[in-house]
Amino acid sequence: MSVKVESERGRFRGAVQNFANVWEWAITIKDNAGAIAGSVFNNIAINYHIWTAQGSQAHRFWGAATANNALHEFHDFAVADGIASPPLHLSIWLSRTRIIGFALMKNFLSASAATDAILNGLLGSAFLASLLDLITGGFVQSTWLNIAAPDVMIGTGFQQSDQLKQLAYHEIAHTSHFVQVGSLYWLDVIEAEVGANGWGNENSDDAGRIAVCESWAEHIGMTYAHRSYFTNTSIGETFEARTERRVNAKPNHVPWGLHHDLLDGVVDPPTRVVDHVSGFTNAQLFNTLNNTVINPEQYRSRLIQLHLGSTSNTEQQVNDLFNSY
Amino acid sequence: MKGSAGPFRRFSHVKYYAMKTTFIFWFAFLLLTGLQFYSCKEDCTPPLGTAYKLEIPITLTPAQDTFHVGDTITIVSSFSNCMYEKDLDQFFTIENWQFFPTSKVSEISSNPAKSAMLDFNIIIDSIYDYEYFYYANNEVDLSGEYLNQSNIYDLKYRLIPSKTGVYHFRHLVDLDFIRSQTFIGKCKNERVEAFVNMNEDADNNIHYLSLSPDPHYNTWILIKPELRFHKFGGYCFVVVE
Repeated sequence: MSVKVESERGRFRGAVQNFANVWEWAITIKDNAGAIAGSVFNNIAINYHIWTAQGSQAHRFWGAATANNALHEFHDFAVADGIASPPLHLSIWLSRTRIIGFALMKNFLSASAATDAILNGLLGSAFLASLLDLITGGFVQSTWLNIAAPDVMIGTGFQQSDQLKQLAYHEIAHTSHFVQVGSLYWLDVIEAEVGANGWGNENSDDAGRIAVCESWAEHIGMTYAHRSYFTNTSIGETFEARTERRVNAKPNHVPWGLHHDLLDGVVDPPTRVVDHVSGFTNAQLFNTLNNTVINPEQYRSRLIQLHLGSTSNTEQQVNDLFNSY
Repeated sequence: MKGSAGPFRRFSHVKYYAMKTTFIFWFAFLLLTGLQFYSCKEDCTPPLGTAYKLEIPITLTPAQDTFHVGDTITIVSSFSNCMYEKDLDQFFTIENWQFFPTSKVSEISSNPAKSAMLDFNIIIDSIYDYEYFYYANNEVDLSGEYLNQSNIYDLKYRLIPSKTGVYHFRHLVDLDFIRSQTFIGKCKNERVEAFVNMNEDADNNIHYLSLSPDPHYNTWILIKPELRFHKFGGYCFVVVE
């Protein structure tokens, strides 16, 4: 009996070591779980417990099982929230050493267009360090993109399931957003983030697009981690509580507390943000974030235009909240 | 003529693409090799585990297990910019950081336990940016930022209990609150976690958790007390009349 981490929703790859197990780069993670005798078996449960040695098979299987669970849970949460489900047949790479991720969406873009976006943004970017797990073997440029590059990379260098899940939800949220905004928009996201060495700062090229995409993914990542773990987290509090206190990830950049402030009924301390806004829904926020929204200002404008009327908020309240980020 | 020129044109087309592919291949190869060489030259000490664990000292005084209504409990967390990393057993200089702490108190004699910061009167000097934070679920914490003066990170306040009960205090420090913070010796893309050390590794009356009817406290936290209680500066106490 074997366990293959693959479904129509996605397949997961990841190597124990970069060079000694090069063949593992290309194949779906599979665990030969042992032999059982009998006729027909259904619903066999196999638990993959937390690892002790980084890069071990135990780590590889734990990472795959946890990220796979996150993918399936995301589909359920997305339906409940009225946001787009991730595209089917995602190719997901699991890095054993990283604690960051990216959503390249390679199979949904042409290799040449993705290559152009990367090279356009490159110019000395250390962001590619997170890709080196895949390319240090010599696969390069479009050859690498065609053969090895995934749609999503998720770092599994965590020792706590909830923190890996939070990252996985974040990256999968990007794939859901990709469904909404399309290929051309996403190529610009890739170019911007490669050029900015990740999230960059408020002065990075196309910083507004980075701010919108990353803050949304982080909002969804934290929201879904809260739903999955509630009070039993490794961060000493709920993911929701941490989200409620957040403002910007960097000075004037990536307003990762904004989306939750649009939903919740909390009046934050005025020393942080001016928040008298409540009652928007995740579906409304997601619907607002289409391919015309490339910065928080456009997000604000379109949100007011489309959805303010269905809430009890005033335009001034929404403006005050956005302006305080 | 057109016919005779055809094969040559096709050959030229193939040759052009072969040259272009070769050029792009070597360009990318050299670029990526250079990037990897650059990353290998990084002068840093990687964490032993999956994150740096910076120790943040805090004291709760008087360190007793029972208080009376109206007593004064003093919380002090003050440390220099030379901070201790637990796993590496090494000190790093953490200059000009912003530390964002949150203090939580739960009354744990009921199931579920209740947020109980409002069971205490709070005395905080106005020099500190530390105030009530109200959540959507009606819970209340103290939250804000350490004062950074002359390379000392500092926070002090007092709790005066106004109700009786069994309480679990904790002090969290979210080092991910701002993502751009780094320090000399830190490797890129490595995480940094706070490990709050309450009263210099004392047990901090953790046994009170087992008396709570809430399974989050009487079971879940006690399965991994180091990571779920001590890491967050946990301290339990009883308040009586």
